[in-house]
Amino acid sequence: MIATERVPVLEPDNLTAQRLRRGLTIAALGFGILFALGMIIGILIAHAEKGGEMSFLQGFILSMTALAAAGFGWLLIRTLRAPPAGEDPLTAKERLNRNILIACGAMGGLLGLAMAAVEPKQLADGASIFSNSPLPPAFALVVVLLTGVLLPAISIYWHRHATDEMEADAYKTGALYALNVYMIGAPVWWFLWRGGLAPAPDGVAIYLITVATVGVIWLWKKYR
Amino acid sequence: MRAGDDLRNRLKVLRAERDWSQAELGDRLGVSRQAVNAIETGKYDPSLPLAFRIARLFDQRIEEIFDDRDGAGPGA
Repeated sequence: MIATERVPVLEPDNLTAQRLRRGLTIAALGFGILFALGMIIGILIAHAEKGGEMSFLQGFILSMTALAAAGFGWLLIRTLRAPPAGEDPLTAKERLNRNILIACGAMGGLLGLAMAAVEPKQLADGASIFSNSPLPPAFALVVVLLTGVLLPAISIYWHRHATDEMEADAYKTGALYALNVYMIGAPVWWFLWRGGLAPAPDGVAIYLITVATVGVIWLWKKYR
Repeated sequence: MRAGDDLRNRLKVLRAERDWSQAELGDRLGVSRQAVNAIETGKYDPSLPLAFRIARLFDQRIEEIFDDRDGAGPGA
């Protein structure tokens, strides 16, 4: 008979407090970046609507806000790079995984900023992500290349080099749940609409719900 | 692979005997700390190839490390 055991993961209180502080710092820096980017977009929208040259004060505030966003970003990367209290440094796979996710997040942020710059009116209405308004063809082409060519290439590289079998399993489970949410949710919404019980199905909303399902299940399976 | 409720293992014991951290073991096996932790705590059952890598790393047979029978040893 072999000796087997189930080892519970116990954490001392001080470690939990340090990890909580780290989590709060990451969240605060994330909100700081979002707030700063929101300010930048707001200033740019206000300037675009008003027209004319940007005043010194506007330019100064814009520069300082951009500097603050960059500073928050630098602090966030530093915080994320340091292993949490009481934890080992990351493995090689984890480092690659984290770096790819940070790069993708930065790319998504830049894409969002570019979309906001192209569609300031829709953003001001708070509906940019659901917008169906026309885009400049060159801009649309850049977005298509980023999401249709670069993103799959990064995704394939990520799956092959930065994930292990547990993460792949978590991702597949998330994809399975998301597929079922899509296959059941989309027709349900469609029939509700046809019955006059719901607004017309929205492709972007369905897409976001599907992607969010993958994300939630994937992270739950990975970190539970 | 679906996490089984009954698969127990000695991974944490074997790792502790060699004074390896989860990160060190993860690097040797080519997996993340989360995977090592999940296997040790029974939340994830490794694939057969990973189970073989674990067995070879510790120079033991798979069934000497993993056991799917509650309280029963090999051949029981």
